[in-house]
Amino acid sequence: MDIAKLRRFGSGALPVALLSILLLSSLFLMSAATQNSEQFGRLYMALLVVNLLGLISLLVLITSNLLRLRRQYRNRATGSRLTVRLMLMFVLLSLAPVSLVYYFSLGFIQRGIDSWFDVRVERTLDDALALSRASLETRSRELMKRTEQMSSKLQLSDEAGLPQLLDELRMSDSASELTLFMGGGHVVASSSINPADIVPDLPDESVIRQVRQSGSAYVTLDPMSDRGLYVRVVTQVPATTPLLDTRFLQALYPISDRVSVLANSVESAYTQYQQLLLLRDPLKNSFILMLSLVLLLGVLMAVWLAFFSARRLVTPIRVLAIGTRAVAAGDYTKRLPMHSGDELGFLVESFNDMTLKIAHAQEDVRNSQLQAEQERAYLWAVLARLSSGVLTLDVNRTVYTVNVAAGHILGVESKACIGYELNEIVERYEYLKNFANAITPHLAELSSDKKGKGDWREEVIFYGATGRQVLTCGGAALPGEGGYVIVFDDVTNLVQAQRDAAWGEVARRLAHEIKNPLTPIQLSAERLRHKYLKTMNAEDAEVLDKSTHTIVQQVEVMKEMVQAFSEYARTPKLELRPLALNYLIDEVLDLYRNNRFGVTIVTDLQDDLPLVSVDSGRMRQLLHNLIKNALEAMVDGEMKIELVTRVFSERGVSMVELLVLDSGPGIPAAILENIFEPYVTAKPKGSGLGLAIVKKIVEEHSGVIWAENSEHGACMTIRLPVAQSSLDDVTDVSEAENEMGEAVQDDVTPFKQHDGDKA
Amino acid sequence: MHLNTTVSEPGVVSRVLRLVIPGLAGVLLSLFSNVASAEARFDITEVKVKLVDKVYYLNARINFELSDKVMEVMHKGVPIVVVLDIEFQRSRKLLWDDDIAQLVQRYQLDYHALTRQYLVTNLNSGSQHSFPTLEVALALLGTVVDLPVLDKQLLEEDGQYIGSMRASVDVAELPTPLRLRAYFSADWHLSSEWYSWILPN
Repeated sequence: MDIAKLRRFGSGALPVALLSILLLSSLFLMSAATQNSEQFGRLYMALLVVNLLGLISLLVLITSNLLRLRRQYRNRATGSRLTVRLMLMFVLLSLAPVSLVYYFSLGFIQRGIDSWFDVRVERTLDDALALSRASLETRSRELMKRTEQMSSKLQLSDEAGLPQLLDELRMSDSASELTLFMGGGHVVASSSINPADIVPDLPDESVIRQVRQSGSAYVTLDPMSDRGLYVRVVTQVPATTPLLDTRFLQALYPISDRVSVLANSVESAYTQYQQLLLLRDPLKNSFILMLSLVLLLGVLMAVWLAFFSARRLVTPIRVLAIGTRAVAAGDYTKRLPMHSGDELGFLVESFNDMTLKIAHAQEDVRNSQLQAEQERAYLWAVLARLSSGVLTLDVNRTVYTVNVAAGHILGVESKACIGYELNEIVERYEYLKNFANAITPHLAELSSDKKGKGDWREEVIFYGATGRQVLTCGGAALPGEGGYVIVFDDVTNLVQAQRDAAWGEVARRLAHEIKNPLTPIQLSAERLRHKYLKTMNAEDAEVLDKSTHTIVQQVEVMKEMVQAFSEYARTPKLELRPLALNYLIDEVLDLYRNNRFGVTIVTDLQDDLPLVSVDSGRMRQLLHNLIKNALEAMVDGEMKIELVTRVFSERGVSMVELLVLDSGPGIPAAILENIFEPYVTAKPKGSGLGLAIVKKIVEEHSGVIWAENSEHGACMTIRLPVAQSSLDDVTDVSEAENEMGEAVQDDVTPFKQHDGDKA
Repeated sequence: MHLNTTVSEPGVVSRVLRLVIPGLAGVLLSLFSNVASAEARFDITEVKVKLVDKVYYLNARINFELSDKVMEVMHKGVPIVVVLDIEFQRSRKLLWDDDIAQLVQRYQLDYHALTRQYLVTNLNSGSQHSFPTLEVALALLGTVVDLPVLDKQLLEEDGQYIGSMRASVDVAELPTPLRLRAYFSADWHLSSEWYSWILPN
């Protein structure tokens, strides 16, 4: 974390500014030092070292930055290319002017310093110095002669008068100091213009030696530190007697102020010029060094600043690029950090807004998709539970959706039809040809009539998998891309029920209307016979007897017929009770067991048959009717009736099945369809209501009945639902219900194939 | 664009290089050339310390030999500063030596072009002497006579004290343009070894 902080600090603007200021101030001080400033002169080396260190640290920084950039460039990191470009541009922009300035500054330094020097100036200064020397030497020689004269005067003087003589000589010759001393440096006598000078300024031993050896006087110009120029003359004072040591006289003569000042001026100018000559190259070098340092520092700082600013500039762009990539990859949750308030910052903000909006839009799309799916599922659930068949076709008449009910009604596997054209389905299920033929013209009409106003409705009759079916079809064009929706209901049973109801009504009315006059007719006929039979002759009496007999008999027949009719029409209230069907069958069969009809009755009854909820009276009537029907059907040959009971289970639904088989000729194919309708019969005698009543009773008990021909004769099959109390005993009732539920969702209900399930 | 122009003109580049390279090379060469001139060296040949009235006086003889470079510079009017560093330490057995006193004597050697005299100035006292030859000037410079260096009262009775002396040219006093070169040049590294002696009680 500390490293990260340090890095953030290192990449901030503050350290850049600090380092820049530090280096610049150090450069400034160094420049001051180079120009011989006393103040900073002593710091020169330290400043040089500081600057070199600054240079090295800058170089290290730049190198590390370069390496990092190279690595990023190689890895094709986002923004590295732009950074390189910006950096190169910055560096070029800064290098160009700096290089120009450097180049011309170098020239100026060279020329500037060279312009200080001139051969003529040099020669003039030399000449001036020589002139000064010459003038001073002339004076010196003059003074030397004087001193030699003084020396000869002193030679003759005695010891005691020496100091006074010296004073006099000094005064007369305007010397500032006269000293008489021995060869070993022992002062004999001294006179000074300045009484404070107690200790005379004696010459060096080497001078004395020189004077002694040469024998001539020694003259020199001495610059005194605070007193200007002096002429120093040292001369021997020869000893008068060989016993005495040689003595020396030193005379100091001041040079006149004016001459001294002039000479000093010449001297200092000469020295300065000489110094300059000496320093010419070092000065140039140090200026060039300085300038190069400035250049290097400037360039390196510019490079570093180029890095810095390029990175700063590229950062938001890099962030944007990363963000764009994320968006392209489908990540709309990406929010970019804000860096600045400038246009780039605005760009980043806009980007964030955009992604936010996209994310919202996507969310909306997803929601609406979900909603659409939910609606679709809802629609499917509704469609699946509709009892009406719903079929949708697209414009090419390819089946798009088929609900479960449609599959049931048409007797096809609904899922297997989806995606097929109507023609292909008709090829597969040939019995649907009528259906297809019936709806095709309407579809054509709908497709030609684009307005979609032409809803159509038609009753279609076709012979399907379960026989004759009556459908009421309706259709309409679908909005949008087109296509059609066809809705149809299987009204076969409804039509049947309506017909049955109509028959029942007719029967009730006929019975009522016919029954009333029959009794008066019968009574009248019997009265006629009773009153007039005795009074008539035998011949007439016979006619009357026959006629009345016929009337009475026929009325009786009519009465029976009306009775049967009314029975058919009658709908008494059922008293349902759980009963064992086998017990009822046994009870009814007892009446037929005496073989008075010459028929063999065989039973095959399942032992543990569940109870059925039935009205026992009606059920007896049903059994009677069935057996009577079977008896009437058999005319000759071996007469045999077989009754079978068993449990029938289909898809979790248990029913009690009763089969009545006879060995008769079977039911003629022409009436097989309508055998349960009133007055449809194949028998020469019989009311034609027997089976109609049977069917009515079965339907009253929510059962189904159908007739078919077996290999021996006719076969009536009845299925009755198991009583609720009996169902409770069944352990797997819930399972059965579950399966039943599946059966509903799936294709075929157990009732579907047979009549009466919807009545 | 400016840079391109510069690059396309070899004359300018070579001129820049002609200007820069000798300058930098000169600086760098003088920085790092360490060719020692064999004869030029300072040598302390004799040191005597005497105790008079509880004050130590130093007498020493130092042999100054200037390098040609130094002489050349001096003759051009640049003063040369010679420094005598004198130190006194108490020698200790276990610890490092304890500094007692330090003394710096600075002398300036000048050439006076007008009079052709060599001036020796004691920068500590300000006294100045002129000499007709360099040898004489250096001989005077190399003769330290009765220089009071240490008060006996500063010393403990039973301690052992060591004095050391060194003579050298102070490069820092040179004009700035010369100084950089002087720092790295053997011509200017004129310094004697430290000369040590035991202080008499």
